[in-house]
Amino acid sequence: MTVLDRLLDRSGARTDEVLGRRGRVALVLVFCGLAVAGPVIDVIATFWLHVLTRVMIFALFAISLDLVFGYTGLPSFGHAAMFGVGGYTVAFVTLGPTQNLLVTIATAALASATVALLIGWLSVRGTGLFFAFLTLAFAQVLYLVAFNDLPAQLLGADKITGGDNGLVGIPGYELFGVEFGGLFEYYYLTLVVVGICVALLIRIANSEFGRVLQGIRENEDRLTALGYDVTRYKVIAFTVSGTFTGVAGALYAPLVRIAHPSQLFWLTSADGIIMILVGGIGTLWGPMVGAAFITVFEEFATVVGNWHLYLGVLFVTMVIFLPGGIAGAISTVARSPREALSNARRAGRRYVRRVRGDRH
Amino acid sequence: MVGFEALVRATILGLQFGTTLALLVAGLTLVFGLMDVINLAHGSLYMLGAYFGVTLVDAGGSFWLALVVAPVAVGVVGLLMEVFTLRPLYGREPLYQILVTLGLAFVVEESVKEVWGTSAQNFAAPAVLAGSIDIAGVTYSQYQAFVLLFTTVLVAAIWVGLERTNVGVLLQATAHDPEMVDALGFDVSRVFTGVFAVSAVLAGLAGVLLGPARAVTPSMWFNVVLLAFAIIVIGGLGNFRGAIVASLLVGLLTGYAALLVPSYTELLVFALMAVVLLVRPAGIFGTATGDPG
Amino acid sequence: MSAHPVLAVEGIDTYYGRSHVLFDLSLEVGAGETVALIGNNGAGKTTTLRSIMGLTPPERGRILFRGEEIQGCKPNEIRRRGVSLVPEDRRIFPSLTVAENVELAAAAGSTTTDVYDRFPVLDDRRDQRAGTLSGGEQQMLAIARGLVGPPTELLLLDEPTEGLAPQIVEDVSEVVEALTDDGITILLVEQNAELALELADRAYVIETGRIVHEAGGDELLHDPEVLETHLGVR
Repeated sequence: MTVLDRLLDRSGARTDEVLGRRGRVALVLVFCGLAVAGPVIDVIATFWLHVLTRVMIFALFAISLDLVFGYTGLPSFGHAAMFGVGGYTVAFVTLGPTQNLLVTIATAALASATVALLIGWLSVRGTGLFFAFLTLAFAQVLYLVAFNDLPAQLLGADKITGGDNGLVGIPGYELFGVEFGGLFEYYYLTLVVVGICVALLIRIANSEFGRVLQGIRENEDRLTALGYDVTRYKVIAFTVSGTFTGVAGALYAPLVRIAHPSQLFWLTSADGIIMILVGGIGTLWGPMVGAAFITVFEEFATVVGNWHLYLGVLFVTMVIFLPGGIAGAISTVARSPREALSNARRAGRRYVRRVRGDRH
Repeated sequence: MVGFEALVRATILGLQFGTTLALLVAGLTLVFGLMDVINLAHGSLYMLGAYFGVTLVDAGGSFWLALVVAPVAVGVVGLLMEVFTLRPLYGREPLYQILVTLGLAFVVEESVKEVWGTSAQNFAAPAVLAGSIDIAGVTYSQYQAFVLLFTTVLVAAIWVGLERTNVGVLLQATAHDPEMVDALGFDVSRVFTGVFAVSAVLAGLAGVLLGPARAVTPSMWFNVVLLAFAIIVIGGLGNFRGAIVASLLVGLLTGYAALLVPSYTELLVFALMAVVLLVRPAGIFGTATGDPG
Repeated sequence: MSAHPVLAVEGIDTYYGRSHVLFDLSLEVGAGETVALIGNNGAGKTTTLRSIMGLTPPERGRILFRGEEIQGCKPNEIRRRGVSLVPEDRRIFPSLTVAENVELAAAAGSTTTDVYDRFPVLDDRRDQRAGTLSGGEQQMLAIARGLVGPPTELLLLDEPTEGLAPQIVEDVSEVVEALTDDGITILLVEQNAELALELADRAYVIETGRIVHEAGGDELLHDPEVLETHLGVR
């Protein structure tokens, strides 16, 4: 029996598996689709190759964030820290000793893991949702460090993080003599790295360790009573999530050719939160859909004006009326369209009642 | 070497900033204590206070008019926020309340950009207080002295109000058991709305008061809300007295840091917060069992 | 029973989230009556009181107080109409003093009954924090708090003797009897069935969210079958 089964007094078939057989088949199909579509898109609309590459990177960011945020129930508002550290590490390594893909990604992963460990270890001391605020604050510390180029000031160097200019001119990766400088090559590189990471994350989520994380979300006290060191699991979950987030950041910086303080800024964390909420918190696949939706939405909405404003309004509306996100809506509609309709009506009536001050 | 006069001035500046922060923190603590809401949009209300103030002064109104009208207008914004976005979420997982306030902060920042543009606004201090005063051979800005005095009186009034009045008793009871207070015949949803609106008014006041001293920009809310929550962590969650003392502490720290290591002020506050978390996770004035939830 | 009972609960169904707790439950309390609601743990006694008070409103059915529907009202409205709940576990405000607890409740309405006459034990402890009172004193405070504020016509008493020493239980029963003598209508939930039946004019037996028996207090007290099957009393 798994931890969650024991926790919820369940036994028998594991129906609670995240991304079951059908979900994984769908993911493989998406992966193959992207692989096949690459050359076609390259010919007819190169611009979309850039958009899709970003979609994949943010999908990885979102699913990593969801592993702690939704899956473990630890709302991190500071994942920009690991995303940015991944990017800066890539800048340091590729502008310095080597452009080797494996070395660079591994270093970036290690660096973000270290930062995540530190932030997670400090932030789990916060009661309840103060965890969220603490992660936000510690990410801001890193932003300030990069923005003021604190390391250079302390070491008396000319520049290390490059202050508010960031570090520009990040070269592409290289592996076994192959350069990933062009967008086309980078698209495939991203596809492979993100594919591997997503597969790993899903494995982790469905492992015994993943069950414990889910158990923490469902009933932390009970898990403590069963003898689990919940705090330690939380810190490890945060570190694992931060590591993959760092890989996403390591893919992002070379794409935009710059490691910049904005990648450490709270808005990057907020982007991730918006993606997972819009997609469906805790479902792992929803956040990836959310990442795609938001990234593409940005492309179109920029034309119409202040897209951040629309995004904010959309976000607030969804938190109130559709907290399950796109994933929640899809699964309700798939189960029973009629029920979805009556749910929507009930949600509307409930909203009016609550606004009038009824607490039920 | 830093001179004595500069040090004294930094102290006054720090205390003035600290007492103004205390206005913000008082509102945050109240809202958190009663509704369990971590209001990330609190900084946005502060920012709106500054912007409303600038607009009123630019439109030919006096600073004093702005000091009254802007906070009231912010109170109305806060009231609308609470009624239309927070009321529907009470009783749901608390996560959604912090998410909605994050979204609101986002919406307010973008709206401010739409209305006032992205460049910094110039908020002039009132002409009456433009001069300086000399006390014991040290020169202070009259405006800063006014802010220090005004906010100190206000914070003291809030404190007395919470400790000594019937409203204070009602709020303490509501913080402890809102359902029971409702069953005794008080409309708790109105208590919540009222408290949120008052906390918005206080934030708006802080915005008008600090406006002339700091850059009025669409992103000014963020650092302030981080500072305010850091103060709550340092002082101890749900501990009003701790929050006030921590406000002064952080204000002073900021004042001295601005003098000695200007670009590290915020970093120092977060470092202090990290140390407090490591040494006394419940905050300097918190009790080990002090669970606000 | 008169034609217009003070309280008439008509076929309510109440849920906690998705779990169905009360099933088509009906009961009536006439003016000046003391009615007991007895049953085992988890039978739905507290939920019945919470439904009446508007704390856990029923999904279906009607609740009439003096002939008017109150099932959609908020708890504070129901309180102001004259229903008062003395909840399970007392739920006094521990950090406030005795006087502050009483004054707060009184501030919601106009009744200024001098509760300290009725509860002399509280009079001596006005300035003491309520959290430092003994269990019995806390119970007295909870009842006192339920009597001030808006005029109380119907008092809902939830497990007033729970966890109290036998001597104190007697004190509480005396208070309940005194309230009845003063014409206050009482709906009493009790785990201690014998005590409840002694105090009550009539009683309902509740089992898994349904009323399964209704009779006069004496009648139930001497009905061995009821005692055994519904109350687990020998």
